[in-house]
Amino acid sequence: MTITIDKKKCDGCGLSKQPPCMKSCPGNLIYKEFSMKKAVLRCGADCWDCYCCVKVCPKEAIDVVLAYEISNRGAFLKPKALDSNTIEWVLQDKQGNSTSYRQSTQYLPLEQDAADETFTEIGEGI
Amino acid sequence: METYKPAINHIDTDILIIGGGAAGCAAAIEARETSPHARIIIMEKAQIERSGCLASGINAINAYITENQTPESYLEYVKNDSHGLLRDDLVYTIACRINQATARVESWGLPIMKDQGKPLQKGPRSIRIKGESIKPIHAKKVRESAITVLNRVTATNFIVNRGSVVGAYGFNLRTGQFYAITAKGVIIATGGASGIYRSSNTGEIAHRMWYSPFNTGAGYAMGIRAGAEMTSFEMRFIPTRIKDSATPTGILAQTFNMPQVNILGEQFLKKRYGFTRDKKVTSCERLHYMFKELKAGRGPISFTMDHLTGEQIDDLKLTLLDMSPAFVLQWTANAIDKHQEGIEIGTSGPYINGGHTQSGYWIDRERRTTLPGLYAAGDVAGGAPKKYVSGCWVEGSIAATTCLADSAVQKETQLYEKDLQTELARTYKPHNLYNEKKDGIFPQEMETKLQKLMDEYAGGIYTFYDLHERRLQIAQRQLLELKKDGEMLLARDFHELNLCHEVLDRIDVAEVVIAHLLTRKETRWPGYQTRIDFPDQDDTNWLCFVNSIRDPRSGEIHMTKKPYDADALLKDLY
Repeated sequence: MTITIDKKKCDGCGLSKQPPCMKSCPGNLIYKEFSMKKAVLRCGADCWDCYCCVKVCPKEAIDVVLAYEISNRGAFLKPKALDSNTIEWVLQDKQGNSTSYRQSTQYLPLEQDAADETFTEIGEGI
Repeated sequence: METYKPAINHIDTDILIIGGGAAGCAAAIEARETSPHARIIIMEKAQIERSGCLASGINAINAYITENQTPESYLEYVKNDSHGLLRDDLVYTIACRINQATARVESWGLPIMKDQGKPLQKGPRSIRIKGESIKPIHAKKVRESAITVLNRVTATNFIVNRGSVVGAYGFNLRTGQFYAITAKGVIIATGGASGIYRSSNTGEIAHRMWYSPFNTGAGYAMGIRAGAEMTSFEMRFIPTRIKDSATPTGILAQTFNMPQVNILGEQFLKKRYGFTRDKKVTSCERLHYMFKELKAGRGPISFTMDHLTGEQIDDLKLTLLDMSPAFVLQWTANAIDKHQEGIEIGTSGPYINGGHTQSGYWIDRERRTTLPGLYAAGDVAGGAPKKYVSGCWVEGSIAATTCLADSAVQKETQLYEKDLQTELARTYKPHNLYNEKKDGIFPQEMETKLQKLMDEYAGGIYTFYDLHERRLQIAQRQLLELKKDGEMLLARDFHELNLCHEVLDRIDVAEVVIAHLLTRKETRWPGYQTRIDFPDQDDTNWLCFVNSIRDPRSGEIHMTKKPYDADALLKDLY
């Protein structure tokens, strides 16, 4: 479906060539616009709503937005890693009632790998 | 305009694993544990921390030998569910090792829910886990095991020398760099295929599907083009799923005992079709009878949850966050509550898949494909339905062991310049065509056209998934036209170049799917494969596998009937 990236909160993770959102997307749907220092979604309809990018964004700038045709507006769901073993999800309905769910996990940050070092953006036309 | 000249990386390795999901990671780790000094590479289209089916996580191990079960009883269950036809040897070898494989992943850090020290059961043959981070856990173990991971490199074709697989080509879908990796053994573990058919959801929500929309059948297509033997592509997987969100229903039905009812509130499976605890409905029949109800005007079908306490609903939501967080949001946004009409059930797919149904490479007991040097594991491997995640781990391990043993005696792994140039030209053609004249077809357009014709003529939701010889022939003819248009594909950048190869792969898979559907002239799996022109199960003629080989030179697909002999398959096993 789609995500939104809050332009005010997203700083493109500074000098990072591959911000965590871009790195974690299973569909290669996020790229970094270097001139603007922003992460950008290629195509909303290609998104799987898997929350991978939402979970890793250090600025909490990303949100999953369900299409109106299947979902009423006004509710939100936000994950936040409390520590390496807990994600707290805050679920809020449109009346503003919120519930939080503590998910036990083995939350592991994305690690750097050799490919990152050699990574250069030479894609054309994007 | 000049032809695009990518940087070319030629890498030689001992073992190349294509696809870093559950099966691929298990294969890599097994190979490392068996052979401390082997050079091992995983080629991965995404990033292994969040790639494949398990990107979001998963809340259960769906194949597990629980206290009252044995590998024998597991095989019997799967065989019954697959209407008497499967590779007994493959299912049995998985069943014998699934608990061991699960314990191993637990030792890497996977949290398994326990009840008095024992795994907490989800259903009769499944256990509950806290699997949000199941992929990062795999990735961490891979990284600790000194395995080279090439993230964002998508495979395009095998390197084949005189019929043997000696590596694979691919390109980085961000940088455009080309890879030619030669290897003593290649394990294919790319998963199954979504997007062959139009999804139940379309437009903006087309990717709101159960299976990963990024599993595009590359592994099947590469094998098809290289002449590997494939099996059972006619056994499509069409799961019943929560409507709109395509979330799995097993946890609702099994763990939370939510009954399925029609619009009249009847538990129709029992009331109208006589299914009981002793006479269980099979997976494909679940779909078949649901559609019978819909056709009779007694839809929609829903889960009721009147009996659930608030505490149970919170437990259910928490469990769903481990796998389908988007549904939890949708649930709240639409204020679904237990006093209303319940949770409606729809479908997702059809998918081509070897982990739930049994479409894939025809392999031997040791997971060798019919091409020397190539091994298959996970959803891309055929013959073993209901292997799920834990079965993928087992298959990865078996494939790695066999691959290592065989590669000790493996031939030279030459990369010929002529072959390299041919694949380079094929790979970058859509990009060059775009730079040259900008006139042609974009991959998104071609994907939509493929899915439309498959939906309407090859048994998609448009015809309630029903199949008919004449309609399949229309699909076959239209697909042939579409295939020719592949020459006109355009790619503005490397992401789009990847989309081009995905749709080309899907077309190759679709062609084989149609050939299989045309061949099986009976209804073996009602729901998944309902031939309205051959409505009955015909054991006399069709208790056999339908296999195919596409001739790498002529492109013709040759179909064969493989006799089924359970005793021979199980010989020396038990």
